Amino acid sequence: MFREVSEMPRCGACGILVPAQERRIERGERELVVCSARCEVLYDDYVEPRYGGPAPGPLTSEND
Amino acid sequence: MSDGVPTPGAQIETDPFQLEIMRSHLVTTCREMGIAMMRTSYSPIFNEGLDFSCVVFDGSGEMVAQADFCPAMIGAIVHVVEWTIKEVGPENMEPGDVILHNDPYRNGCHLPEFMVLKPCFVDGEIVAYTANIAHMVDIGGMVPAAFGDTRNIFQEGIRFPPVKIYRQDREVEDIFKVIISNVRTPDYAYGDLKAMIGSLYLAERRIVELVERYGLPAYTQACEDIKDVSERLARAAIARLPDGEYEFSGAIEDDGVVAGEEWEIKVRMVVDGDEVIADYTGSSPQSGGSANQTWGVTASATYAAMFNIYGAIPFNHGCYRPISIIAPPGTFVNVEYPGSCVGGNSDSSPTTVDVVLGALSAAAGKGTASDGDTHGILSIGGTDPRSRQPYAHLYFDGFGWGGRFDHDGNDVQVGKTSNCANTPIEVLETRYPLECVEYGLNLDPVGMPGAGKFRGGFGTRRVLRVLAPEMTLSAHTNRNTVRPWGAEGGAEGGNCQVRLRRAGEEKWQTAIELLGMTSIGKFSNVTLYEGDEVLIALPGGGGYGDPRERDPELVRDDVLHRYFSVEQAAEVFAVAIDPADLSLDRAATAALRGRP
Repeated sequence: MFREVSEMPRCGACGILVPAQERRIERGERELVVCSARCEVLYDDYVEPRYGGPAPGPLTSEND
Repeated sequence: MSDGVPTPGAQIETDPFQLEIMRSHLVTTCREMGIAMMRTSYSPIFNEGLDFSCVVFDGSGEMVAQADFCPAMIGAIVHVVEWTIKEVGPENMEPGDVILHNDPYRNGCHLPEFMVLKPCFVDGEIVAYTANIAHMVDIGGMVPAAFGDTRNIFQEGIRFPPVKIYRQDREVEDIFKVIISNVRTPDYAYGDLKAMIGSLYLAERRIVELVERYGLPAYTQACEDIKDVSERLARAAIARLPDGEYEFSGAIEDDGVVAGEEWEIKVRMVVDGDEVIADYTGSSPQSGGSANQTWGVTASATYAAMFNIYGAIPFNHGCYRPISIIAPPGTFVNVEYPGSCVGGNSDSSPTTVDVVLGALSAAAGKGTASDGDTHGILSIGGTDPRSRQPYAHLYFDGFGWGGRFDHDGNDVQVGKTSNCANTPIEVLETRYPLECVEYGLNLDPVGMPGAGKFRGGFGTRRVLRVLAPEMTLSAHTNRNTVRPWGAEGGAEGGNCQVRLRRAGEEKWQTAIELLGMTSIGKFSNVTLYEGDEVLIALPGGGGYGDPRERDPELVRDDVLHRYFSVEQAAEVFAVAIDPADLSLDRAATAALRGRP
């Protein structure tokens, strides 16, 4: 089924659009989509410790 | 498909001499693709401007070769190809298929940048993907040649998610029909697309030759080794930087929608061992105009800056592995649908490069001032009275680069994310109803480069006269109000100027003054008439270091070239030049500089 980009999640670590093969991870009560195993590491090692969740953006503070 | 988890300890298994031969074969294949596109395309932006990039990916979907093309495209194509393969699925690809996509939100550059991708099969297995991105001049939308003050993606033009434009070596006619019926210059669009696709077939032949010569196992191993070697070199370069966090920011002036507002690009470069994170958190929200960057554009600008740190190493997927990028969605550096972004790739990304370099200057101990950072983009369109055919053209030119820690900024360069060429006067006048009235270095005081121990380079100044009864003009420029920053005591660079003059009049006016537009640098679909003129003058870069430390002989050279006056030499650089014979007065210079 075709999806428009507005229906696709963003990576919770790097912010890239994830058109396919999204990886869902759970951190505490939060479920996130990440684009790769590398970004899962990036989230755990940098993003979450610094921001307490996905990097804050003005329109989307959490993905998915 | 690799998850991109680095394996820095991997051993190189291919004989190093054979590896270099195979790597060179792949790089040469990319160059040959480019030559084929240059010689067979229809549009000057292809065959003169070279606004395209050709690459080869291996069967795992990672880039193994690129050539000296456009960094903005090459950085993004890493992700465009990766996600196109994932979205379409290799299992849905067949020999002879070609996939097209120009969706900027799918990690691409901007809407005019069309990407074509061809899987290469050997014995039923995908062993490589050949791909290129090229700038299609007209893509429909409200502005001929796309650039202006668009507010959303629908105004920019036609957008394709990944679709097959060839199936089993045959054109998918429906796709071509949709394209050529939605652009102003269908012949050009068709010809340019065929040039792009033709280069894929050429590359496929070269890759099959390589596989047949060395065998599939050796080829596959070589692809892994090529990437690993580059990864080691990239990591070694990063490891030479001191660990730490380095911040910098820069501004993009108005977006053509809100007058006077500025948009901040902010980065924190986190250097940790042999890896680096470029964190753009804190950048401004996405704007209402078209200056926004996609994630792919922000990534490619980051890569372009980092490659300055790497130096001369083979560029391929291995170079990207040590770099992580964080660009929060909905910001100026990661636009969300349906935000406009056609200008971000071309005219915001140079500032992003300079912001990253600004942050890394402290780490590297080798600084640079800001480049002029606007290409002076003009989109023109109409009907040529000579041929009665519609035309559309994207005009851009070179600005001055910033002074650096060891030399002056280059004159008349495109951005560090570009690498394109201008359109020669002869071609411009032959192909379009324009006359180039004036072309030279921009010596206007408004656009002069910043002074410094190493001054900025000069931009260009050009005047174009309209030779048709009517012509549509749009503009997307920056640095009209925000100047390129200096560094280490160097002065700010110059401003861009876009001015218009009606036929027979003497006074140059801004688009606000003449036409009541919102912005002096970003506007759409102004109608010019025969004899009207456009002045586009691009800024010089910022200066680096205290101007009073500039080598007096270099100051004298600048005076001899009439870049600066004798008075400026004394006032700005503290260098005494004899106005009679323009000789250097060393004693007076020493006195001006307070030295014995």
